[in-house]
Formats: sequence, structure tokens, C-alpha cells
Amino acid sequence: MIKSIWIDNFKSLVNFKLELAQFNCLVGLNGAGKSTVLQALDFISQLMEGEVQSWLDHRHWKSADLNSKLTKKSNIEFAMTFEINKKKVEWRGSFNRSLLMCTKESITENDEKILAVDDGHYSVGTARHEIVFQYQGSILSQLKESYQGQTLKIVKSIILKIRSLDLISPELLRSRSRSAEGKLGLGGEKLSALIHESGIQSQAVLQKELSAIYPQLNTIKTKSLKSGWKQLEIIEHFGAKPLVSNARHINDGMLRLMAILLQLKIGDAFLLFDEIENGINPELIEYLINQLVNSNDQVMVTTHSPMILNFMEDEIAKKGVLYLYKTTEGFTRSVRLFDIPSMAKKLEFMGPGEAFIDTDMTQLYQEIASLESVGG
Amino acid sequence: MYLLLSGEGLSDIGACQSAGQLLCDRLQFQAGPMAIVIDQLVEMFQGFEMSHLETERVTYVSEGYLAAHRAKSSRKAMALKGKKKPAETKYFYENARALALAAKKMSEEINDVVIAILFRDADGTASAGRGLWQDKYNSVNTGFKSEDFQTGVAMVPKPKSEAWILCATKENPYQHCALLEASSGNDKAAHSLKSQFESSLNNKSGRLDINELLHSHTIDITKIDMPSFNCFKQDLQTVVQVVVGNL
Repeated sequence: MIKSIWIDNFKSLVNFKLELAQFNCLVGLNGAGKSTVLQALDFISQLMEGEVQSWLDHRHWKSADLNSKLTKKSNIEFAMTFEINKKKVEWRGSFNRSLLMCTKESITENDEKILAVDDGHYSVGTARHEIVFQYQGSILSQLKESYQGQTLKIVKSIILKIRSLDLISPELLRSRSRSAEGKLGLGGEKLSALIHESGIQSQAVLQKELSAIYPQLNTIKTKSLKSGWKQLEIIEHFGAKPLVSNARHINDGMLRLMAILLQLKIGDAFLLFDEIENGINPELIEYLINQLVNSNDQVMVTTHSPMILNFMEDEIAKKGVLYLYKTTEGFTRSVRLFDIPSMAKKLEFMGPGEAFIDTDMTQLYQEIASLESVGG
Repeated sequence: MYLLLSGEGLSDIGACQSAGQLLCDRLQFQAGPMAIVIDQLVEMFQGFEMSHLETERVTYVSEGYLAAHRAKSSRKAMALKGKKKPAETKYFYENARALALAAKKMSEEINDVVIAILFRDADGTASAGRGLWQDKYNSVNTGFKSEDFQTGVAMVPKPKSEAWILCATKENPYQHCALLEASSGNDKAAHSLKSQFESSLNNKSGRLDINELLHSHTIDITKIDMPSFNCFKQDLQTVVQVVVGNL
């Protein structure tokens, strides 16, 4: 499990730290940096993929877009802590935006260094080697598995499993695809192929889950078309009459739920969803939150919806609801929402969402600032 | 007639003697200045001499008690902020509902009319300076009404109870006290209400010091003239007079 993230000089994230729980929900005003946090996690995950340039292209970004315009630093620094086999493991790195690689890196296990990159050399354990090859991202993206110890393998795999779905759009969910290789695209593209690859059994499970909330839903299936395209279809029953719709005509909410549930079912990933409430009608929100909170995997969502918060148990909300705000300098900061004294007090008398909607968020910063000034 | 009081702590309404005790009757209740203010006003409005504090006709419930006995709400039917529901009010509303329930239960048990008084600073921890006094005051009354409770009184000083006492203890006592309502309730602010209050009393601003000033009528509550105090006084008068049958 990822315990914390620290990142410096990534867009509005300057010396930004976030402590993570199993279920995490980011809230805050528009522009506070919620989506940026998801992007930062996706960026860090790409360092392990070692395909930084193609990731930038895919997002239509340039490397010059990555750093904060509020500081003069060039490199992006980051640190992540993990708990692996009850040991504290930390991965730190410094990413050079021109070379698109981490020119400095270290991984420690209970404060003992097990991997280091510096001065054009890398060392694993005690052996030190010159780096005589080019790569993007982290050195771990290149090292043969046989050179990696158990802990390094686990770190790499945790990072590779960060799966950001921060650009989900109905249009992309509807698009036909050929293959998904076990995951959706940032925008939800490849849904049809993913459902196809997951097999008939998974389709039946998904159909059963969705039927509980869409009673008329009868079958979810995929079709192979020519040239390997996969097409998604559903069959609904209205009275005795079956109605077949292909993905182009399935409602947005059902498609989004399919994408979310399928990812949760596949599991074994740290899933990130932006604006989780989009397109989902209020009656389904409790169901959705239960799925997300009870997942075995770490989950992070962003939301503007008090309803999403209101369906969390108080204890989950206390640990997992993180309020993002910007300082007067423009830096994004985070605080656990229900650690703020006024919010903690309100939570004694109302649900988390009610406390959230009752609060004048535009002025919450003043209370946080007054806490900081006394070192709270 | 019996009084059920709820406040925030020792320096306002008071508290139970043992820490952690959420409900107590008069014998375990350490009265704070606001309890004495209430007692004196009730005595004045009922038209005959009888202190509820002295005759032990007072029960105290803490905020923790109200939180533990909050009125049932359906999480699905949440109250949305909107044109009819201003921000930073639900805490006041829910406290009033919980107190109304406690008062109704007590009224049945003792077979007497219970007047419940909910004391909450307008600028206390739960809102940290956000929201409007009028909205909070209205929410307390809406909370009482939602539980169909007729003898509840909102005691919501603006910004906090020190302002009411300061009105009597400052230089030029009882003059232009409405101005004090514009001060910040933040104790850490420069020239804060709390620091003005303490210096007006030469730092003899402890609970017992103020209680003594009230008992001796050195602080004359009939002369305090501030909108938030007048509002409370008027509401209390109406309720007491209804109860004693004068209205």
C-alpha cells in the first residue's frame, strides 16, 4: 500500500505532501489541484513504464508544461513511501525534464539503501555500474527482473498498478477498440475490448451487478467485428420485448458504471477516478460508494458531490476525505477535511456530506491558516 | 417551570463537576456566568422571586450529550444548502433538535413545563467566523420548531458571550455596546474580544469572578443593550410569560 506521496515542482504541486488511506476522496474548490494530484500519480506511474514521451504525447502535453510556473526549479522531485512486508520502503527521485529521466533516484528499505542512481551511475545493493544506455523515467523501468531484489520488484509493481482514469468521457467509452491489454485508457477508451477480453464469466458477473441497479438489463455482450474491432452491446427487456443497444446508444451512466465496476473487479490496481459522481443518478451513489470503499485495492476519487461524502461512514470520511486548497502563493496544500476543528464538530451532528455542503468553502482557508499560524 | 440548559463550557453556561459527565442536575452543575444571566432574567420575567438555580430546578446537558443523542436523520434526505438554507447553520439546527428532544423527554419525566435554552456562540469552533448571525439564530428556532417544541430559546451571542459581559465591564459601561458585535470572535486576533474582556477586568476574568459581579449586580444585565442580547431577552420573556400564563 502507498502510505504517502510527496512531490515538488509538478504544476501547482510545490512541496506538496499527501498521506494516503485505503480509500481517498479529494474535495476542494475548482482549481485547487484535485485533478493535478491524479495527473501527478499518473506521471509517477509512467516513470516506471519508462515511456514518458509517449505519455506526454497522449495527454497533448510538452515537458515544459510539467513544472510549476511559480518556482524557478527545473527538476521535478518526488518521494513515495510504502509499507511492504511490514517494512518502511521509500522511493525518491529527481526527474530531469530535458532528459525525461530520473537523474537521481534512491530506494530505501527501513532506511537502508537498496537502489541508487547518481552521477551517471547506478547501484543495486553494493555493486555500482556506469549507466551506458539511454532511457526515460526510472532506472527500474529498464533493469532486468533478475537484477531486482524482491522489494524492488514489489515497488515497481505497485507503481505500475497506479491506474488513472482522470479523463473519462462518454465519447471515448463508446468508441470501438481492438485490444485493451487488461486496462482502460485515461479517457475510458478500450472499454469494449476490455469487456471482451475479460471473458464470458466476467461479463456475467458484471451483468449481475448492474442488473441489481438496472433491473431491465438482461445481457452484456461483446462482438468481434472484422479487423479485430470489438463492439459492446447490451440487451434490455421492457416487458417481453428485448431491446438491443450497441455502445453508441447505451446511456452515459451505465457505461461509466461498467468501466468503474470492471476495473474494481479486475482489481490489483490503485485506481484513480476524477469526478466520480459524473453521470451517475443519485439512487446509485450509495451502491457505487460501497463498491469503492469495500474494494481490496487502494482507491482515490475526486468529487464535488456532498452526496458522495454522505454515503461514507464517519470513520472512512475522517481518514480518507482530503481537502485541497491553494495558499495565497498559489501552491496546492492538503488537509484531512475532518481534522479541521469546525468540520470535526459538525461531523458529530451530521453526515460528512451535510457538513461539507453546510460549510462556506470559500472561507475555510482562513480557519486552516489560523491553525497553521499556531503550528496546528 | 424547569430549566434545561446547554452551553459550550465552563466560561459560558457552565459544566458538570466531573469531567466527561454529559448531563447533570443542579447539585453537580457548576454554573457559569450565562446560567446566572438566564436565572436573573427568568426571575424578572416570571413576576415573582424564585431563583431556579437556588431551588435546584435546573439541569445541564453538554454538547457531547446532544451529539450522542442527536435527532435521527436519514442520510438519504440530506439538507442541501440553497436559497432557503444558508451555509453554516446546520450545526445550530441539529443542536436545537437534539435539545428539544431531551427537553420533551424530561418534561414527561418530571411532569412540568421545561424551558430549554441553547447557548452557542455565533462565532464559535463550529463555524470559525463563517456565516451570518441571523441565519444561525433562525436555525436554532427552526430546529426547535421541527421537533414541535414550543418552549425553546436561542441564546446566540454575537460574536461570543464575552461581548455581552464586556458591555458592562468596559470603559463607558453599557454605552454603544452594539459596536462590540462587529468584533472578531477569533481569540488569536490582535486586540481580540477576549483580550479586551480580560483587560477590562484587570485579568480577574475567571468564572467565579464574573459570577460574583453578576450576583452583586455590579454587572447590571438590565442595562445591556446589544441586538443579539436583546433578541435573546425578548424571546426568553415571551416563553416565560406564556408558561406562567401571562400571555
